[in-house]
Amino acid sequence: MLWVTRPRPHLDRTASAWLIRRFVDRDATFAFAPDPEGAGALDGIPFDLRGVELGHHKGRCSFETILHSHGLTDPALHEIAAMVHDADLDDEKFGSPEAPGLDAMIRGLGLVIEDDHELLALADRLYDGLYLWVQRTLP
Amino acid sequence: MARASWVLLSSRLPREPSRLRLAVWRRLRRLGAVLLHDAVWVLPADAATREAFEWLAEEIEEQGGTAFIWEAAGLSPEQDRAVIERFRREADARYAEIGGSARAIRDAALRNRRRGSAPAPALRQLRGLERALRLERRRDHFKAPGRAAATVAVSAASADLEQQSAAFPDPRRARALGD
Repeated sequence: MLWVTRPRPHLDRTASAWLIRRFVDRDATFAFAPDPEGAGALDGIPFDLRGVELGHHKGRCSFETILHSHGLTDPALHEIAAMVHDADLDDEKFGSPEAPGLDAMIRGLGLVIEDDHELLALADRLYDGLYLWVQRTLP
Repeated sequence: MARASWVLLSSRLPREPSRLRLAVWRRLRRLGAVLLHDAVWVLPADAATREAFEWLAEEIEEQGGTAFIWEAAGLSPEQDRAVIERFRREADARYAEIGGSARAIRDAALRNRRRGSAPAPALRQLRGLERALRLERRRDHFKAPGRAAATVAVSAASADLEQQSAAFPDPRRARALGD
């Protein structure tokens, strides 16, 4: 399936794309559009776009919304969701110590990688590693 | 150093309700944006700051205002340096305030200690100050020089009060320390 989000993705969107590709839709492909109208024209599933279902809702970031809407209960994913939430919403809700570092990594990647698809591919590896590392820390 | 690139936001908000203007202003301050010539808000450009301005611009438009955002490079390195200097000055003023509050809380607690009252409320105030310092570090885009002094002032006050608190037979002590 085709999934559509805004161009120049930062943390919530790179993490959401990874979540979609690894846990929701193995054959996911991604495209970028600046607004819901553009996403509609591409006939894909929109995420982290203004007013769409898979976006910010009730104090949740898009990653958390996707996690809940697909009933994913993997504790490692919920740990990562806490990092993404704290970095994206900047409200210290989970007091995640990894959040500021993750934010800096993805900001830095965005400075050197201009191609959004390339950025998603590289960020995928980063989140793969993060996921394994988090799993190792859990009981 | 690579040449700086900036995101700029200029907006016009409806005069009423005034809480909208206040909310937008607070958000911009929380992002650590700097207001130039009462006209344009500036942040160093990256995926996160660009996105923050995009969301804010959308909200302003939804509330009946207008907003423009650009990504821009200054034409001279001197200008970039001057803008960075502005960011650092504003962050330093906030760091100085945090450092001053930390010292004031500690001094007041020491005075109260002599009068025999518990340091627990002062510890809670300090926890709030630590939160403020963490926010400051997140929105300090150019590592202002005052960061170190503020960090030292807060942790010194915290160490002093915890030491005092440990010597004080207060039932709320464990909770205050565990916050």
